[in-house]
Amino acid sequence: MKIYTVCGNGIGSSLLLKMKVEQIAAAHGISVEVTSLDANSAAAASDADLFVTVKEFADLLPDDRRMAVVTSYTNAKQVEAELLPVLESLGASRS
Amino acid sequence: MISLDAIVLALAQPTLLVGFLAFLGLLFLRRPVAGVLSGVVGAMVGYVMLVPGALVVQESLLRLADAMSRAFGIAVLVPHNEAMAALVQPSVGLATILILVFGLLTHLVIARVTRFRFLFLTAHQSFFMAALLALVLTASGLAMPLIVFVGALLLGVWSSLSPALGQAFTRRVTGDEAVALGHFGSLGYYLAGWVGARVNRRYVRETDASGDGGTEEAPSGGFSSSASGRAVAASALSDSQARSRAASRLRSTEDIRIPSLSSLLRNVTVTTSLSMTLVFVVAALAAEQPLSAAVVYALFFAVGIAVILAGLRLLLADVPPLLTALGGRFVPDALPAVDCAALFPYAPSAVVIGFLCSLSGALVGMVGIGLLTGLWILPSVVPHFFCGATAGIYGNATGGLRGAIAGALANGLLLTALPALLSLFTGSGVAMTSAGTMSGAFGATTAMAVAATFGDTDYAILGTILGALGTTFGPISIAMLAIGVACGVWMWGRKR
Repeated sequence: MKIYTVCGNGIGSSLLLKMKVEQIAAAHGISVEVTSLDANSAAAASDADLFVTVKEFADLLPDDRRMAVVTSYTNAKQVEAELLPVLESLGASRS
Repeated sequence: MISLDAIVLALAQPTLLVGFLAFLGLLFLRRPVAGVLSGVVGAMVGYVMLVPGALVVQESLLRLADAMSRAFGIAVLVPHNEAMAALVQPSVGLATILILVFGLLTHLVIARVTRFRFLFLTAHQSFFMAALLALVLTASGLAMPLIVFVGALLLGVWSSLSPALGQAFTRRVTGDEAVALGHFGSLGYYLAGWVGARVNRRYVRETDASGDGGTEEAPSGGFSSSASGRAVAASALSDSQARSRAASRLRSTEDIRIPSLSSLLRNVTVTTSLSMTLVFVVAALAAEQPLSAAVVYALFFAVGIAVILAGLRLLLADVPPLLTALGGRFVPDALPAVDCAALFPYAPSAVVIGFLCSLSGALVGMVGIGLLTGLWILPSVVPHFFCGATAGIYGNATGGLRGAIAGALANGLLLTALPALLSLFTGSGVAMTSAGTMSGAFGATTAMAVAATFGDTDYAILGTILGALGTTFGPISIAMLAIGVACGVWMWGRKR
């Protein structure tokens, strides 16, 4: 599935988040294609199955997007707890 | 005006090198064929993209500098790392890329053989630092192989030292999470942390005494512990006065609810356009130039920055994964050093307070330095947001609300004073784009209105030190300093 990770400039923390998302997906055998984006491009992009970001940027994205809101860009445990349920439900609905 | 042909010619070597290095890196990451192809082309496209972005930014800033000097007779300088790093690629592109690659490898070696076991994952910061080092070392007159050797040594050393120096502060920010700071505004943040502790000495002691080092826990823990810490102050003051004073000292920024400033970042391009339009319109009004053109030139700046950011995204997308993979193999227990924005979730209110206070400090500094020297340092809002916010977070971690305010103010002053110093040694961005030559890199401040320079603290401090050394004692002194520092780090960090 196609995922965007989102932060302000799209070059710093969203890239960290992208790596975390890829790690978690790989550990659970879910195949993903993750790209990091700035909030502005993300608001205009609709071609992803899931957007992963923190609350500040989640508020700025259109409501109809499927979103996973995380509370840290870097804490593997926290991101996994917040992201995995969404990933699994998405994976299940697609297969 | 330099011909486009000359610029294209100057970009050929570094662009091909980027493609080749991306190819090696992606092979190491065992990407499938299609992934390698898109990664290689993406990195090359991203690299070339920096240059048109920089040219547009330069046109815009030249126009601003012209209006400002006509209107007020002053020179203006806009500290902006993204713009500056892109702007110097036609002249020092090859050195930048080589310093970046060998610098990151040096960083991995340092992580492996010393106790500074950090993995600096913020690739755009590494790229800016490589560009700064390439620029200053080339201007100092060192020969090419030495430029790469010295530059790589310095980039590697600073990528390891910068997270290490402030790890005690960073731990106070994140509680127990295993991350370090990987951002080259670091000296400004550590200054903010130090100032925060100085203006509010009891904060660390009493928030720690209440059981947890994390500032997030300060509200409940901090207030209850104020009862014991009050005893000393209470002798002179009435009970209630003492209690409220102790309570205000122990207040964290996170005790206050502040609306998030994320709308500022919702659209970086719009924020940049708005703030630049304001400056350009003021200049145009005073210089009696047409307003409509001023607005378009202001938008040029934002457009150029947007192009540069898009280029950086493409160019550096695979660098952190590659570093993580290499780190996992050679330094498995290294601590990841991450972008400053990754710390924002730890203290969202400090982000807002830090930005506002840092910007205030920068504006005060701008007026002070401007009146003294005639050189006006215009803070750019979006880059300043990141540095100011992080300074607020560090100030809060050591000194609560008071610390955040004082620390961010200090950081803002520093962010204005340092680029003024650095500009003495890097000259104007304008002179720098003449492909291949560095003529006029020094002393251009007097010849022509200065347009851009590197911004954040570490770039400015390193650049100023190296520039001063080079002009005073010659280029070899820089090489000796680099070797000395590398040996020092090795001795100091040797594993016993």
